[in-house]
Amino acid sequence: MERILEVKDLKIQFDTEEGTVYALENVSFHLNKGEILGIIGETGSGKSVTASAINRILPVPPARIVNGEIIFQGKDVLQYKREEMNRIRGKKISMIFQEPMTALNPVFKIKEQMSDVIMHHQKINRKKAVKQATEMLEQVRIPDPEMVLDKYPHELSGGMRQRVMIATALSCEADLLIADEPTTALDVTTQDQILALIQDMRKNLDISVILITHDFGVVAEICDTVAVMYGGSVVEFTDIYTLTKKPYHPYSNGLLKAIPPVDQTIEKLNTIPGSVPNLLKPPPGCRFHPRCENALEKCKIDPPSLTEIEENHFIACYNPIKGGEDNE
Amino acid sequence: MNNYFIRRLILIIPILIGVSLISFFIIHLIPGDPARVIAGQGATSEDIALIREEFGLDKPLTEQYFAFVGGIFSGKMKSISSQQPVIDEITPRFWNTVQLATFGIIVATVFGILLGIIAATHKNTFVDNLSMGFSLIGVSMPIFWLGLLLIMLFSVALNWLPAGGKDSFISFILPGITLGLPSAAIIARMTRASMLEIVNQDFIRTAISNGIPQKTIIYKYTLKNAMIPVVTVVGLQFGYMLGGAVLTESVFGWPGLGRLVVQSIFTRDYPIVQSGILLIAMSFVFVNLAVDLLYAAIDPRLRRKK
Repeated sequence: MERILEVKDLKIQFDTEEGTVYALENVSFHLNKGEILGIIGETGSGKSVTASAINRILPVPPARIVNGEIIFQGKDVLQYKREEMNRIRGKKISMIFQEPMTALNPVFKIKEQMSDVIMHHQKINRKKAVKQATEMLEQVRIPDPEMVLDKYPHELSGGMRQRVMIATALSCEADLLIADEPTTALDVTTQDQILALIQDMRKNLDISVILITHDFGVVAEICDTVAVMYGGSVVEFTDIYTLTKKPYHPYSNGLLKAIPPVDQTIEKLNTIPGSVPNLLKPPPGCRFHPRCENALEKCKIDPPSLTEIEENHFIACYNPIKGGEDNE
Repeated sequence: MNNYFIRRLILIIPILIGVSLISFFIIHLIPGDPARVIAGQGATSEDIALIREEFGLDKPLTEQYFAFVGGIFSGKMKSISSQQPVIDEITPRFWNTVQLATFGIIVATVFGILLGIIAATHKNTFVDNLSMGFSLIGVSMPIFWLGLLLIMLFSVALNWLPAGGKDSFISFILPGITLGLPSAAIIARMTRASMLEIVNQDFIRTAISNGIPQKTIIYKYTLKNAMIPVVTVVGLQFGYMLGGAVLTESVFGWPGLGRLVVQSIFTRDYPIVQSGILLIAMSFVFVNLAVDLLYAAIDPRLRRKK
């Protein structure tokens, strides 16, 4: 399988007034062409920072890339100059965001915002760009594209706006779409439509997708592979089937167990005790050890690195759950 | 949109009634008898009584107020000191002020927005500090002192520009700059703060992630959004300039409305003062209306549905 993206050992820190935030450490994963990779984790687990790093939209400073490589189509995007990056963003790597309410510019019509992107990347005139925007809106199943093009963002619903975002992001035939919690702000019905749309786009336009979410349901529905993040690190990375059936990392296991079963009545929802670490002062060793039932002495001192324990199954843990027998 | 405009126009009426009341009573509350001032020293009490009667100053205040309002509508109100119709006294002076204020606000807006953009795009660098330091000086420097310094440099030392009067276009340069600079400083600070706020918005991140070049992001995507609060400030400054250019007008001997009103306060020329204040207030109200309409032009969220 052709690898479109490979993130290797990414380590990012933020220099803030309160001190250094150890935002990312030990982040590695890869994405095969045409697949959907889910990055799942709690708030503050580093999902969005990871996504922004791939597209190089992290503000540097305060962000500092300490270590690592982001190999996209064979080249390290961290080495690109700013102008080179402007030709890649929106053209090769596109991104959509959580808040469709605020992610579109309130003072320009959809027409102008979409065609600006198309004009920049394809060097065509406004008229042709608008025509292309219309076709793109049809692709994302907007029933009346001409009308939508003539609207301002505040005149559209959340689902509509997210469709416009997707249409804009894919208008220049991007190879990789990064969707940063694209459905979190939407109601469940719309959420479903947007997820279906992303799947369709993947098929029709032959793109690869990184889907960032905190919703296991979303991941299970459409992803091929999953990277579980905790406290700024990838703790487990494998395909979706293996993860749901046989998670090795205690955190992934805890997450899965926290999903209430549909077919049984339970008294109390399973939870993972404790809360996410403060990344200004992350715990030494494995960042999950204070909340981990399986923690060993070693876990408190030395952070485990992500290693492949079975084929295409990577975990960062000294004392994994054996065989994942907890899940049927 | 049209409804909104008409509603705003109707709202102006109570505002103007309020302003006319305030301007009428304030001048009457100031101690000093206009009849005595007009009659001059050594006038007998009969003379003073005669003058008082002539200008209706012996009537009850309410009656005087209605006479004043009536005078505005009929255009027959006369200045006490010059005996000329008020409208003939005020109109040319107001026109001079409008010209100066327009020049001043252009200086202020162009200079202020440019400086603000430069500061915002060079945030926390030497350039930013320099422009913000400059704007701090601009805000803090008293207008009359700035005016005098400019006269000393460009009129006295270099002899490039006239020190006063209103003869030709070059007469506008010094008073225009004097009037505009403090406003430019305020506009620059506002532009900078507003730009820096907008740059952190989600839609700018979207534009960056779509590969839009930095120039377009700054001068199109950010600037148009950032202009919304700046327009307010520009409007307010223009309003102040129309009404409060007294200092600049005095320093440069500019025959404007502000100076006329101040002179008339000294001579207790009630009709001129009252009408002048009313006119200044009216221009302020109309500038504000224009600002509101500009808002709607910039920000589609403020446009009402037809």
